[in-house]
Amino acid sequence: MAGEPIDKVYVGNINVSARRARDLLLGKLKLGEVVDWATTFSLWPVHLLTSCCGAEFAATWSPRFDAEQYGALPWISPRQTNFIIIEGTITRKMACALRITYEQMPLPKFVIAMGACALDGGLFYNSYNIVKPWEVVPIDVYIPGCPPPPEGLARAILQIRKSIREKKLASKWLIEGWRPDKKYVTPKDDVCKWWRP
Amino acid sequence: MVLDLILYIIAYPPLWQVLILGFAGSLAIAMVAIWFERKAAARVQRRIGPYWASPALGGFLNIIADMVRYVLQQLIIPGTVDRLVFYFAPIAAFTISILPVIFIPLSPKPEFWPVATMDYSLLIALALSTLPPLLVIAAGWSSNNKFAVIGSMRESYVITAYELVAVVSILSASASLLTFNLVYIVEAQQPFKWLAILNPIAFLAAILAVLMSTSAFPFEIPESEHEVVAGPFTEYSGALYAFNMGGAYVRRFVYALLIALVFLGGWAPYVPGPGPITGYIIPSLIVVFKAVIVVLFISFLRAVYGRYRLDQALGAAWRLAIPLAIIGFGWSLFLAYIGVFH
Amino acid sequence: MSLESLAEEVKKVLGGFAKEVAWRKGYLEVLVETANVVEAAEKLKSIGLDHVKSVTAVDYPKESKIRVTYHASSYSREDLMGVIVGLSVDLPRDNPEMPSLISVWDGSVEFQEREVYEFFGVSFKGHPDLRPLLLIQELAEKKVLRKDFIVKEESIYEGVPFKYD
Repeated sequence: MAGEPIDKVYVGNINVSARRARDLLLGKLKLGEVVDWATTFSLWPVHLLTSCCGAEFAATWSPRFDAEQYGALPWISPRQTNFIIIEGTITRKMACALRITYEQMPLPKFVIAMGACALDGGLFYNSYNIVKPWEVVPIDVYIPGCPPPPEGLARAILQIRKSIREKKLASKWLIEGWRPDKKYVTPKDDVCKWWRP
Repeated sequence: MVLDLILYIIAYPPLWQVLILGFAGSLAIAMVAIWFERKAAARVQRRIGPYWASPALGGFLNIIADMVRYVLQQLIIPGTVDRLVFYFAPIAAFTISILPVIFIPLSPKPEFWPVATMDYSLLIALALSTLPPLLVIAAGWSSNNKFAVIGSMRESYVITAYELVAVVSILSASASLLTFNLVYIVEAQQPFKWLAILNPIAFLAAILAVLMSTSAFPFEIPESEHEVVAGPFTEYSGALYAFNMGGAYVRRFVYALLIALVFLGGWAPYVPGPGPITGYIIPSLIVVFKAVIVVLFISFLRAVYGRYRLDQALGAAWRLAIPLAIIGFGWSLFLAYIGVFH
Repeated sequence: MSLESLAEEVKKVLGGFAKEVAWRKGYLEVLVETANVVEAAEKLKSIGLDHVKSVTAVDYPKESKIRVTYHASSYSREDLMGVIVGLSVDLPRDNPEMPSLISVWDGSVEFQEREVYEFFGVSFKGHPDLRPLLLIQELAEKKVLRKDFIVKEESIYEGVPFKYD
């Protein structure tokens, strides 16, 4: 076109294009269901063993109980996992580590609170140095018991899978970009107040 | 008539060799290798391994679920990384890992893929296959994370020690056959004069070097999870990590193709005939079959061996593997002297 | 070496520093003055007690003192490997202060003195990095393992308040 400057580049409105692409992928191509299906069979927990329930965590992946048959594989770095198991007591300093680990994981991510200590303090209900895990991270499934047996942990994994498939949690959180129940937990500055690098 | 046309389209080398065997084939073989690795480790430990995703296929769909989950996960780019290198190092490593397939002949007929049947094809394929570790080092360096930097330092130590072993032991074939052309190397091994049988020392050194330089399990030192979190890939998430993880398996497959051609006789018991089926597709499938056996053997070692420490592995490199490779080279010079192949 | 000869040897090497040398349950307790604790520790180290297994403290609110005990043992002398010598200091309860023994038994006392500092409020002079180890700063100021810090408890029976002593 004559009269137009040469260095102009036509890219369109990138937000409109992105929204159209999202509608196509999620509406017509049912990509959300694929995400939900893939996430149910690929719940990889991160190694964060805080307390004595970690022994039961180990037993759950041991030859006798073998949680890998559900597709769950304990993995190394929080960047590559999507699932965190809080094993027991969380002290005040550990709460900051738990929160940082949780925030390092990519969405969609899920949390299991395991054992009586993670429910409401358990044996240490009146201790000055513990926090309740639901104040630190949003929690999907609680397992009672002190400690819960490996079958209980395997059942919690199945429960998370069920709720992902029924409520379409993975695709929902992936689209919205954050977990809606995250607003109920304590802000990170309060959890990590003691930490001065 | 139409069948011939379809056959010629399928056997068109950029399609068959690069896209089908090179790209899709190496992806599929990487998935099979990961599945076999997990399943074999589970069987050795008397577990079941991945199962409930598809009980009929022995849990193979679980690997696809993992892949889909990785690709469609949130992609976290930390604020402190070197962004350009962080994006492009894994993608470039994955792409360059596939490149040697172009120079690997899967058939002796020059009319199908004249690039592959040229002289010096062994040298070019080897040279290209030593490139991707540099990009892994770049990936770790750009992450700006102490575990990633330590992991890439370890990777650099390991490749300095073991790429030499790989190159010397694989080039011992050209010492005994006096050529760099992979087609001549394979044709000289017809029907059962395989170099793995005639020169087992070089074969052993080559397998050791492939294990080491693709950081397969007994030597999984750069990514050893008890010491450095995930090595160079600590900060990678989502699709970029899938590229990183797939790249190592693709490199393993490409090395296995080279080993299958050089040591295991390529398409050796089979004499290729005319036409695309007997001349191109069947020999290439035989080569890929041998390479898959090598890859699965490497994957099986994960269940059997513990990990070496860095100093043990480097000691094994300089004290054991390099002398082994040089002895293998000398043995192939001896083979050339007594004239086994001529 | 018999146990009695160990007590004799410790008495001989400490000279006038030892106020009291006595066998408690399974270990030899040596009580010294606060001013002499560094010299006493150096003399104990010179007979082969080369590391500290634990540093602990006991609160005596009625006698208004805090007793800090270093449990020293040996890796280098074979006859001393099985015994533990406790080097104790009595400190006033309202302002407990003592010289750090990090100059004598370096590495092995560093974290443990920090732990005693945060739980009992004992400040160690000359410690290079006296921060709370396990607790956060607000809790460390409350000196939570002293006897007068009461943890709130629930009663077993409803309505009946729990009696503190």
